[in-house]
Amino acid sequence: MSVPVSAVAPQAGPHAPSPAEREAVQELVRDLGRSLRVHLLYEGNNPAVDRFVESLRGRMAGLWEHLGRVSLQVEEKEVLWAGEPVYRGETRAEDLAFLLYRDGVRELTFLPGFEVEELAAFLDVLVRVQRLKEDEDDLLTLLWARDWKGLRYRYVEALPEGVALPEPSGAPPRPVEPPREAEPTLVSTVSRDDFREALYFLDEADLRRLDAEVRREQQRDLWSDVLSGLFDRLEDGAPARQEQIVRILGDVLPTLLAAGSLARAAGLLRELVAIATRPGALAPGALRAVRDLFERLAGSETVEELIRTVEEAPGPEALEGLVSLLSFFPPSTLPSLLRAAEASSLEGVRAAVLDAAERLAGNGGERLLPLLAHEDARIAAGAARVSGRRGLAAAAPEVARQLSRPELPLRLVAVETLLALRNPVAAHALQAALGDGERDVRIAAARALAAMRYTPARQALDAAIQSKRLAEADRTERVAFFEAFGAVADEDGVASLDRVLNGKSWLGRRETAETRACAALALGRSALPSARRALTAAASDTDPVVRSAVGRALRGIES
Amino acid sequence: MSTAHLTQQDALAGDLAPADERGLQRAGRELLFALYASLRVLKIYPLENQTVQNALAELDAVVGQILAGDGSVNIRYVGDFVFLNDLRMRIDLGSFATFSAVGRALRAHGIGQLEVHRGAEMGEWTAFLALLLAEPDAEAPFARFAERLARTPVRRIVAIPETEADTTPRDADEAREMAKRTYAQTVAVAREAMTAVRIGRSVSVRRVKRAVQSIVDQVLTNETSLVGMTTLRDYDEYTFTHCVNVCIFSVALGKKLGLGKHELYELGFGALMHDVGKVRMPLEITNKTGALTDEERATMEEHTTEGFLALFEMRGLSDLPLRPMLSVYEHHMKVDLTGYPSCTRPRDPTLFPRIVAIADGFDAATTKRSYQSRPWLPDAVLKEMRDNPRRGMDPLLVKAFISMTGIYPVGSMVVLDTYEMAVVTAPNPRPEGLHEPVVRIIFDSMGQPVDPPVEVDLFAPGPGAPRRTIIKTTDPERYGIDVGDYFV
Repeated sequence: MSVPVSAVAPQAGPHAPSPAEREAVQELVRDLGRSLRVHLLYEGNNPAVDRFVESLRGRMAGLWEHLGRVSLQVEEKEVLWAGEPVYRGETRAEDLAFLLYRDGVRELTFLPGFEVEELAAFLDVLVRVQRLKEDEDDLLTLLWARDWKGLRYRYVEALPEGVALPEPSGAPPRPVEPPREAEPTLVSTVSRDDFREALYFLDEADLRRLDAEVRREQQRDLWSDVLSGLFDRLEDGAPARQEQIVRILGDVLPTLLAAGSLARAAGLLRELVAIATRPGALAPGALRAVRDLFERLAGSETVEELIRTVEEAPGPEALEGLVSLLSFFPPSTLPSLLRAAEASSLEGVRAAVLDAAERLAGNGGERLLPLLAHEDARIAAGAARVSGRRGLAAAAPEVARQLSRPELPLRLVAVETLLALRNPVAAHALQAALGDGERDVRIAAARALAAMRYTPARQALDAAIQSKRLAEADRTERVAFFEAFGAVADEDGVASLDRVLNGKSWLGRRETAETRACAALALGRSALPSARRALTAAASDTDPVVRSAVGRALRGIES
Repeated sequence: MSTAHLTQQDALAGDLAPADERGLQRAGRELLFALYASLRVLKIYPLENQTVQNALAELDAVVGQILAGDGSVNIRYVGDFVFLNDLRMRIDLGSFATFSAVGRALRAHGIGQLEVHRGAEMGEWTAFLALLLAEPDAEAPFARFAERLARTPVRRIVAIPETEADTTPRDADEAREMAKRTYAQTVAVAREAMTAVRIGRSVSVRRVKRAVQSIVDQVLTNETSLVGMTTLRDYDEYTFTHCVNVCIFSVALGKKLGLGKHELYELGFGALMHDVGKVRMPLEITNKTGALTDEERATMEEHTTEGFLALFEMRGLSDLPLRPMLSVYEHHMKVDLTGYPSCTRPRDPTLFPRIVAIADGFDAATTKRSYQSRPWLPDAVLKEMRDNPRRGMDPLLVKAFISMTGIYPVGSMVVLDTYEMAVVTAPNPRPEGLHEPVVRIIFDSMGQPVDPPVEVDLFAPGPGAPRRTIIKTTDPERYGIDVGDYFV
């Protein structure tokens, strides 16, 4: 059985259509089918989709010069206009006719103006409905949800099987005693006057209040009240209901996170923890369910999703929500947090996650140390970074070992960490890293040694700056090594640098301008008075590269 | 027309809208009131009368103002909605009668849209409105109107026929048929959903959604017929028909409050599901005919929480139906937050659950149930809801509800001053006639059945017909009458 509800009276065109009009409608429907295919093939915002929509717009606009509307009848395998087929689907999966027919649409009418604002939305609905699961919306529920101005549709609604329509009982009324005789008194005690006020006195104050009530309903914080209801019932519920509510809260949590409501999700966890930790508030089963929830929360996917949520919509509020949420993460999430911190591209997010990881690392960092050797380089790197932040001297040997791992980002973090640890083990490892196969690690190690002014590395650095390898290295690396040497140089070292900067031979300067500039920058890192003298001597050098480097170095010393 | 009244209404209507939309809302409201006032005075006074001239001048001024701001004037009626230049006009309790009166005047001639172009003169308005007041042609109202219009100098006021998109049923039979189908379908869906909840199966959300959407469609376009369905007795189990009736009453009240289509959907969803938790209550309690013990009552009161939790388990919803959930959860909370369930955390129930509470209370009291063999008469229920604070209903919403149903809600059996007996079939659409509904006389003054029953508008009985008034309501069962028969 079927019933038209949103009815458009079936009709042909207002007049017998001409062959040209028929052809134009045929092309329009064919293009609609094609656009749908392209939409399905590519996601939105694709130029191909835009082209099809534009072409369809043009075609429709052209039609309105001849037709006041286009009414299409939908059958299972074809679409008709004015009683004749104008479209036949090729494959069922992409068949426009079947797609419409399947969900009950039997007639579509396009009105002028549809193409301007509603065509794209209509195509979106058609695409969306193809991707829905069985129990979700269908074409009719989606079409209903929008107030179409240029689209009318007629559809059939199947009544569930075995449903009978209400019908009269069939018994005709029999004569009765006239009421005046049968009822000397009124059955009803109410009269018109009882209701006068309600009927006619919705005055302006009443209307204002009703309007305010409508507005309050629209602005109601629905989640807040739904969650309050759940917690109220969690507190006074029977054990089975408590478990059910905790399960519901566990299901709600990802919904909130997906919606970016991190603060609300944090609030949910806070409330749950508060109730769960109140003695006797929850039955053992519910407590187990709470523990399960937090274990699920500890999953690496949850952490990654959470970080992604914040990264996609960064802002102080999201970050604040993240910080609140992370405060509920258990120690078992430490590896996930460490990995997430390394993966994040946002400084604020990384800091928030590292803060949380630091909190979970244990008082002596005991949960952190084993992770330094974790096979996942990002976890190992995160562990190293947090070790550095906490100054965990005990971490230095394992971080030093990280320098021999193949992953470049990990080695770079290790260098950073060793610098933060600043102990002999760390410094020794850094010195070894001067010979790392990767330029970036070497540079980082040199800079770290410079920052530490680690004098035992003097000899190694001296050898390095005189090596052929460094002579052939790029400027950044050379500067890093020279500056590291300058930072640890003794008088002999300064004299050596002075010679590079100011030394002359009978052919002129002995060194290239670039090397001399490096030496100048190195002298700028020395605290010895002789270094300043050497720089002052070169302050008026004729070579602009050298003069500039000297100037920079002198400014560095002065500051 | 009261300008002061309009100004205040407009301020209310416009608070949520952007400034230009507010302006258009205000102007649209003024336009429809001006149109209505012009039609009314033209019906009573000759053209030269100063009142007519003033009304036309006001109409002309309002149109000019909209044309100056918007460049065009297009009034379009779609179902119960009115659009001005594609902006849906907010219909509220202070405007619905006027808006629908203008719509009726246009529809009588098959006009769905009115376009006014720059330069329209007062003389054109006079001719146009005079034609609107003329008797419409029964066969081809629009064609005849257009033909007459073409003979006048009216050039800048264009009447456009109703599009076939109009979902208003063509006649009473079609209206009844559509209402029956919608009702039957929704009862079936309610039965299916509640059975699924009872046995722990997942509910087909799509079907529930479609059912509620159909209810909203029908309330918007065919309210009288659908509300008539709420008088059916014994069509199906009380639990299911009650849910559907509450849905219908809630959506109808929401419509009167000016809620939009999507808000009505959310309201209707919550209303349809408001008692879903009852299916999880022990049958021996739900079917008990006598009074409940304290313990049984406490168990029964759990149904709001059970229903609330059940909605979390519905699959296939892209979003959780939060607003409907709150209607389910809070519909037994009274305005002072007594009632149930109890609240520990701060809570301030809003409009929707309170609407559902009224619809629930009204339908439950007027229906025969396991523990209520003799239902209340509808007018007595209205009075009780309004006057008894212990019921905990929002007095203002009850007032609005009565304003919607009239004193004698659809399905009431009434005794007329002629001692004829009749069934109320529709509230009077005119606010001033809310105590004088449309009735179907089923017994004459001698107690003889009237076959077929005669329909009478007690407010406007028509030329030559005697004027009748209701003197009292009575119990249809006493006369062996199933009032539902008069709606199917």
